Amino acid sequence: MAFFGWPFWAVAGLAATCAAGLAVLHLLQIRRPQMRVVTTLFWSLAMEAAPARALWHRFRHPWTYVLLVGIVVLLALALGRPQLADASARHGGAAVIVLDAGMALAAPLAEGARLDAARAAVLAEAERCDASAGLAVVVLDPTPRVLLGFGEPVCILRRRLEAVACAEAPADRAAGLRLATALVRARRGRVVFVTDRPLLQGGAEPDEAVDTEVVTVGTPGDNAAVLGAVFEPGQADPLRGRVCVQVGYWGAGPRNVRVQLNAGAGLQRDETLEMAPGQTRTAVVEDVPTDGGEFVVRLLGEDTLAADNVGRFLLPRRGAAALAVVGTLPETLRIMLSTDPTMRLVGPTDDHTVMVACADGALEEKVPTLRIVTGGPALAREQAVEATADQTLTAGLSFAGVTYGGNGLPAVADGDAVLLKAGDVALATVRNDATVPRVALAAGLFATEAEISRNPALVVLVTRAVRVLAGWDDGRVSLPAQRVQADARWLEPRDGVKAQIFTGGRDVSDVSRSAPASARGAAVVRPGRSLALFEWLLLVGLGLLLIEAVLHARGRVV
Amino acid sequence: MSRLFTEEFVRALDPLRITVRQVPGRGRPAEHRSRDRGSGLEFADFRNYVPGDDLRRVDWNVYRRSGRLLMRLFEQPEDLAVYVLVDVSASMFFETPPRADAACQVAGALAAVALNQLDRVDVYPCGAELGAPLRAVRGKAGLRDLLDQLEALGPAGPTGLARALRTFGHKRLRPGLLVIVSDFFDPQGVEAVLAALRGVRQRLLLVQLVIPTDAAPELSGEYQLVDCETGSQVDVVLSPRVLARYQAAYARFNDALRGFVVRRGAAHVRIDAHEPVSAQLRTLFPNGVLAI
Repeated sequence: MAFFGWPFWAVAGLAATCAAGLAVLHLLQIRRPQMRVVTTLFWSLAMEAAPARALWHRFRHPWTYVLLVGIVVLLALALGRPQLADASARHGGAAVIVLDAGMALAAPLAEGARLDAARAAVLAEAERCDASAGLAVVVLDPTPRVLLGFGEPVCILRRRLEAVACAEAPADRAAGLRLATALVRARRGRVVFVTDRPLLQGGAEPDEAVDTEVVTVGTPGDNAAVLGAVFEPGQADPLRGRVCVQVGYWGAGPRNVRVQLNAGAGLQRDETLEMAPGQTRTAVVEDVPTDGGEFVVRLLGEDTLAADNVGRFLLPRRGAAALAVVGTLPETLRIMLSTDPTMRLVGPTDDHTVMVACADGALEEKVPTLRIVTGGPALAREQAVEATADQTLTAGLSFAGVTYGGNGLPAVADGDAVLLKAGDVALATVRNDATVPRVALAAGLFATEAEISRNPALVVLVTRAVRVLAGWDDGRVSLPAQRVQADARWLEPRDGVKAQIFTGGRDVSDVSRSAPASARGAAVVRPGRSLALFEWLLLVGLGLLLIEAVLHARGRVV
Repeated sequence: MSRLFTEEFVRALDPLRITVRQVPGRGRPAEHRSRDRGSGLEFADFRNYVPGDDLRRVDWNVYRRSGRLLMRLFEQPEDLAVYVLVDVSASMFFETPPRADAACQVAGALAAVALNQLDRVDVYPCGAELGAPLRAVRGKAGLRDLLDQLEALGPAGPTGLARALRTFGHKRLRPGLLVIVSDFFDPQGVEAVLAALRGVRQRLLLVQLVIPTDAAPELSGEYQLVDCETGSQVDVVLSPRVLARYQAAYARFNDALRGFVVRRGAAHVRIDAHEPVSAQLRTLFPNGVLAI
């Protein structure tokens, strides 16, 4: 229980101190000398109110009585929780206040953080609203949720607001606006959006049918931030690639942002990006190995917030795929596989991710398998080789002018897709819908006398097939961020992604990454609050009560 | 030697008389005119002779003139019943000198005057309630005894004047003169006393015992005043406004008494208890006569 924001023990201690003081005053009270008289009849009459002879006498009261009446009136007024009459500020009708508690609200201000200012703005709006018409509060942290529902007492809003902390991601303002609009539409009310930027930035557009007011908190400032990084594997050697770092900037004007990129033990790149307000640019480091190491991005120079100027990312960890060879591979294929740096041939009992089998008969396929099949039907003559156009493995491959007259695959199993064919004979198939993927190739493709065995397209097809079977993705890889908060202005520096810190309206500068659960928002600095009117009345009433008690303890008969 | 009733005090009372226009009949022979006819010296009336009457009372002159036998009737002077109700409550003994001394002196003086003229005197001490009467035999021997009894009276509890008067009013006594000697400071208020007096059928003489500080208290500052009888306490801050309100309350008290006296046709006298009583009593007897 709190009283005027003070804890219960403080209030109890203050009350006990006042009571002790009054007890001392009572003990020290003036004790009038006693005098015995023949009768107190006339003295009693003298000390009573004189008969009212004049009209004004009827309204004459001792001051203590006036004090007591005044105290009772003030206490009664305070219980009614009066509001200051301000015709321009009083809003009738229902209202939904939306509090943006996204990462951007954690930005520090001169005193406290932006979220503190937003809380104060919410409370001020709640005071101005007509609670009897309906008041609700929605908080976006980052997804919208109802903090105070219609019908709930407004007095609990302050306590609930104090429990709100900044999210680790940008607030979903559009969803929050939709929720607030839905809540208030039936009541023909209005929406008050407390945020750090205009609503139209970031895609949140208010409903024209609902009166929407935006209350912005915080002050803009220059800030550059490391937004994220991706890894793009190399075409020739997927075990190496390039890292692309996304840097965002917002400020009053253009600024040169110096970016340092470090991988391993050394500086990989140091460049200066010319950035305009709201712009996002990419800094690239080439030929980065996929060794799982740390990749650190630093933005040098002064800006409003330093917490987002460092980004630590982990590079993908990739090594050569282990291919277990079962049976005797065609020499051409063996050479093809062994010369590929992304592949490593191992024995069938070694750890492997793909099995390359060239054996007749049934074979248990527990891992993705590249099967070299012999004994299929022979072609009558040289046939043109065709690649299936709708398969990823043959995308972009051309076998134009290539002919083949050897054996094909014995049959196309159910569920397999044809990759290559000559005439009506399938030369290569793929099975993707099974639990264990498989690519089947006719052994004749690798015969030394076959023209196709020396075709680069076949090499690409085999390489692709093995990599797909190994689970490799040659697409861009988003790197996980490990931000370390090094800004001394934060109260509790700790590892992990912190709640973010951007000033002004700049969606592109928000870091859109979620943090580990252990890294929550920074501690909130609670700003000072002013007393409400009813609290002033209560204080004045209690003060008068104290005065009257002192007068009474002093034995003063007024 | 009596402290209150010295020989000089008693001697000074000899020439004083209490007179009434007429006393009710069936009293003892004394000095007041009554309705009764008897063997007094004052001719009152004639009546027809009835066989058996005393022939010495026949007016022979009327017989000679008219031939009628008429009896001469003479007034029968009788005594006046005097009831003296003296307040001997605790408050009467509070001050120095106590008002009870003056009350006893006034009661004794009026009783002496009544006894000197052969009237019947009953002195009722009252405190919380009406006490047993102090009856006196007629004559100076009875006076001394009565005065001694008066001087021996002590505090009889808190003031209950209104109650004592109600009790007195219920007594079936011969109509006469009721003298009330008191300060009339009844805790029930003067209205209660006056209401009780309205139930008394006697002629009334109110002797109010006062002292100068009753009207003008010589107090200043702050006190907790304690009633000497009831113990009730009143915290007072003696400001001029409070003193003015006190004096106004006291004045209303006296106005109420005087108003009653005027409406009732009674007699009222104020005796300063701190001044010699005998000199003040003489003002009650202009030309030595108190006419009720």
